[in-house]
Amino acid sequence: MITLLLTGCTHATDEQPAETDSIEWMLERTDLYLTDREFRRAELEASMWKPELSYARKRLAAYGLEDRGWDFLPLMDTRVATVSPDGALHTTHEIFDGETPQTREQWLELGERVFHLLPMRRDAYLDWIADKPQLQREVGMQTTSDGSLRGVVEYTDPRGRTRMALTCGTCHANNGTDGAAARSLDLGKGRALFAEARGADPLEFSQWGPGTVDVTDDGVLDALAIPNLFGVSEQSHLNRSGAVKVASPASLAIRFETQYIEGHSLERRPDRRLTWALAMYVLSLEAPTPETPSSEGRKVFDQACANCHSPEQGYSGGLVAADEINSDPQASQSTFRGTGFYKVPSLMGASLGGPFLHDASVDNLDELLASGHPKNQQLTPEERSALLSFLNSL
Amino acid sequence: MKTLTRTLIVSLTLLAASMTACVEEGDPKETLEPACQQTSCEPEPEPEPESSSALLKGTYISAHLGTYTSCPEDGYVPGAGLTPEPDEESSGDQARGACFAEGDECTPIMNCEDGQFSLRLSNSGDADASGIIITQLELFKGSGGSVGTLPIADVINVETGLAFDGTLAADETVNLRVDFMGPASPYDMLEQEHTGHLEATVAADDHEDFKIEGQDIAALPDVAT
Repeated sequence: MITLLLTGCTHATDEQPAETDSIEWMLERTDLYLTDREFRRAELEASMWKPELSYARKRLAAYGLEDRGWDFLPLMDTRVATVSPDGALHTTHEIFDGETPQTREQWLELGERVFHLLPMRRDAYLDWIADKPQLQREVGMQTTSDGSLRGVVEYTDPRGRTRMALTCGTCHANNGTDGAAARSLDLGKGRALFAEARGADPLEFSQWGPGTVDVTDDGVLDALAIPNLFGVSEQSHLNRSGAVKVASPASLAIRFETQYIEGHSLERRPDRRLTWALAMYVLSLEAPTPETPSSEGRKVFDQACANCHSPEQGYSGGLVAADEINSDPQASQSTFRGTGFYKVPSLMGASLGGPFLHDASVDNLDELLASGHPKNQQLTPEERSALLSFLNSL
Repeated sequence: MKTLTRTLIVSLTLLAASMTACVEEGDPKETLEPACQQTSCEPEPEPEPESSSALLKGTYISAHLGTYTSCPEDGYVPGAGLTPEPDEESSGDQARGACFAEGDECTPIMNCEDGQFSLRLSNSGDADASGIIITQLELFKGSGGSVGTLPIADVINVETGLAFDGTLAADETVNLRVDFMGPASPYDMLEQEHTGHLEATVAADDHEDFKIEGQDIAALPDVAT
């Protein structure tokens, strides 16, 4: 007998399911994004549904403006080098040859290069740890098939300094599966080790935990789980608290573009062809599906879960009020990005394992269901078993 | 500036008067120049030489207050003076400042980074501008009240990476980055509003001072995601 709490899932905005083929939508609007400032500005405004948040204010004050702001920034350099774990071998890559892709395949190919190679932001501890294989293993950093550190690149910053930076692939390409969250990667530990080595207090960072990152500098410990990037084309919002509404696939490209700008200290912006390609690539990512779905489990899912995790939206949904699920509401109250809600994440890739919930507070699906997720939901052992089987097919 | 405006008005008035005279004396269907050539029109008086001048305009691009989370001693503290006092407990690698010695390199402790204010400066006048300097960088709270003036470290030509030499030729544009000491505790300074804006004052030889107002500003995030 399933005891449902259907009111546990409410919707904050009018979610518009994405069009069937987001990439086709983008291919038809490439010129608009690349050349029409007013198009980009309108898309930004449509995605900033909570304009009072500092995350939104910064972008609304600077992006897509005619007479000032980030559009006037010079372009980022696209020459980088991947490095071996001991720092001895450097392999140079030119990410972009300047030729605008003409086909879907060319765009996706460029997007994949951006995903793995374009520096998202520098971090001082990366410079330090980049030639220390033992510490890299402790932190959960991985190597690629060609023997280089996954998602770590060397680049020259705007001031001419050689720096190490993270890329999308650092956190979202676990064991070589693009889109899969790196659950054992402990970036907080990397920072903590560096702080310790310098005699600084590592406490703030050592509390993050594996697979999480505290993305707000508000002095509050509210590290968030690194998400899988599967089913993004069906999601209504981005960020754990849903601070960015996916008004269209362009929302994703603008979210990336402004992310790179901030990651480069507001001194450079990426060529928009790179962020357009990256958005296409992320939208194209699909979770591996290891098992045949259980039909019995699907029935349980439809009754117990589908109200929030809609199969029509890639098993994601809109937003759920933070106090309507068994979860710490703190991150939903952040002055930087807190909306009072949490995004209902896509369950695509759930079979890859936990931890689950926005703060990675639940280790696995069994534990999650046993906790009564979302709130006070009771399943019989048979229902839970069937549901687990189904979720492990996603 | 007022003198220049007056000179311009006088010159234009004289020119307009001579043009009217010529047109009235010639065939109204003829253009001005042939009309003057066909008559005994006196040569136009030479306009008084106009003094050329620079006309500077500033465009705000971006700004942040830096990040001093792991090195608050490097940040600006109101009333503390421009040169921070050394931390008594710090020494060697833990020494203060944005850098410490590691081999031959100078590596920042965590993500310590000075504030920056990027702007575009253009000269639409007909003379080169010289002596251009950023004289002041003032921080305002979101609600508008002034918080203080932040110490400027460098003004860099973004294209060359070199210190700006203070000159800008006519019709030229340059992107500049003003590096400054940001507040050690920005949120204390901004009183939990978590935002504010900067205003840069620009001065140049033979040019009125002018201000470039920034937009929503905050500390540089430690993690950009």
